[in-house]
Amino acid sequence: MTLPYVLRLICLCAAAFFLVHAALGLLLRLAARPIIQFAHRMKPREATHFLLLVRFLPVAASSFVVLSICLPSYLWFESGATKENVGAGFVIAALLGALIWIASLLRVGRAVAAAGQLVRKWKESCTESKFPGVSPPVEILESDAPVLLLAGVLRPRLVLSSGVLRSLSPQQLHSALRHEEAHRASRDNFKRLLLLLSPEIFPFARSFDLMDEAWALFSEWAADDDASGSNPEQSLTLAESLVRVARMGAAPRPAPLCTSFIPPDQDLAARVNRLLLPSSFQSELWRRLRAIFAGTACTLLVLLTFVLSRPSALQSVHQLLERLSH
Amino acid sequence: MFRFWKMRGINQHEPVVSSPLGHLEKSVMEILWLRGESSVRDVADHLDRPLAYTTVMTTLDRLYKKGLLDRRKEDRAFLYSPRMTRDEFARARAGDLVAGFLAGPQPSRDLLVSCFLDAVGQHDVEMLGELEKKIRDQRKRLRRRGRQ
Repeated sequence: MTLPYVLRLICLCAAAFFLVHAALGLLLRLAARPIIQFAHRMKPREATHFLLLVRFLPVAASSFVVLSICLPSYLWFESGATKENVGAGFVIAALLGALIWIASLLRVGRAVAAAGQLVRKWKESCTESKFPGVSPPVEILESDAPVLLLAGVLRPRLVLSSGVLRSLSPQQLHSALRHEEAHRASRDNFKRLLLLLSPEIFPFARSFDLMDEAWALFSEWAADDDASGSNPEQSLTLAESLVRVARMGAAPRPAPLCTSFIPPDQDLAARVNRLLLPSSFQSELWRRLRAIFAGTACTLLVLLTFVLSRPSALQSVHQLLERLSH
Repeated sequence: MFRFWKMRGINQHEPVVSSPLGHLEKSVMEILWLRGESSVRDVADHLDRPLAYTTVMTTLDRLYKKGLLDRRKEDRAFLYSPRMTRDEFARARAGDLVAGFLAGPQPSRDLLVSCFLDAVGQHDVEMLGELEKKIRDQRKRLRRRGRQ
């Protein structure tokens, strides 16, 4: 197949992105369980940071390779006037690269539309109310369903049903709202959006479910910790409010960009037991890992500067890419 | 070919897990799951009540024909061994039961689903009760510690 200059550049970027991303994504998928076990050795908030960082490694590394190596080497050494033949494998890799991004964008589009629809619907039927100790106003939904969640990405809103309002004591309600407030403060819905946006290994196939579920679990635990503030009395009150809301029945399944007080797929007993026996362990792991990640990033930047400063190195990269495309 | 299977003691009968086992059949299966390959005499010796050799032999033969046991001849006696582990047997029975309900008319399917939901609901209620008790106990412990 013969492709003009610009189209060849686009295909090269998409194919390189797909190949690097698929290799790293498969590695990550294989190592998901040990990584999650390792995260269990950290504090929940640190575990969420760690998992998010690891989860974005494939997309970050592949974007880095495309933007810092493929693009400059092509622009520098490829002559603009020529039309060149490319191989079928190269075109397929480029198509797959484009498709994984299209699938991600579709997923995000659907999630944003569903969240927007939900917020609009609630705006019509909710009444705004202020609660002491909770900074943004809370939307009260007239319903007996056990609804207590944080909805929206840019300006997330706390939504509470009148049923929950009636069944919780003021202390329990306060701790439950502090839990959701902790989600808001750590921008968990925005992180959910980023997880949805991050491309899969292959188009339209969920590949990082384990990591995403683990992240969701740790984000709940971290919000529990923030809400209880390591105070055993407050931990117990939060545990009581969890059980009280669970007694109201199954909560409706929240939209993808909502954070529910009791997520339907998580083990409530484990969460309550954790609140009953709060641990006070201090881990240095995250600090060390941050240093390792920062060191690796600096090394990569130095390497990149070295490569870009030597045209012969970039030329070798270009020759390699040329071979790949044919 | 048939002779080969016979020599290897591999049972040609499809396992029948749908029909319930009688009391003696259950006891015999338990002994075989516990001890592994055994002769009729071994099984008879390990039963909780004394039974005639021929009764045990007939029971083992019936289980063999139901496809639940394999057997091979050693000297002049048969040695019997279970074809499935206890877990595999339990799973196969449960699967068979569910498949039977699902293949039946709509009311029997609804009945199955409703039984499952009742069981899950009951489990949830019990679990929440236990959690509430744990929270109450922990609160008492905290108060006691606060007073000291």
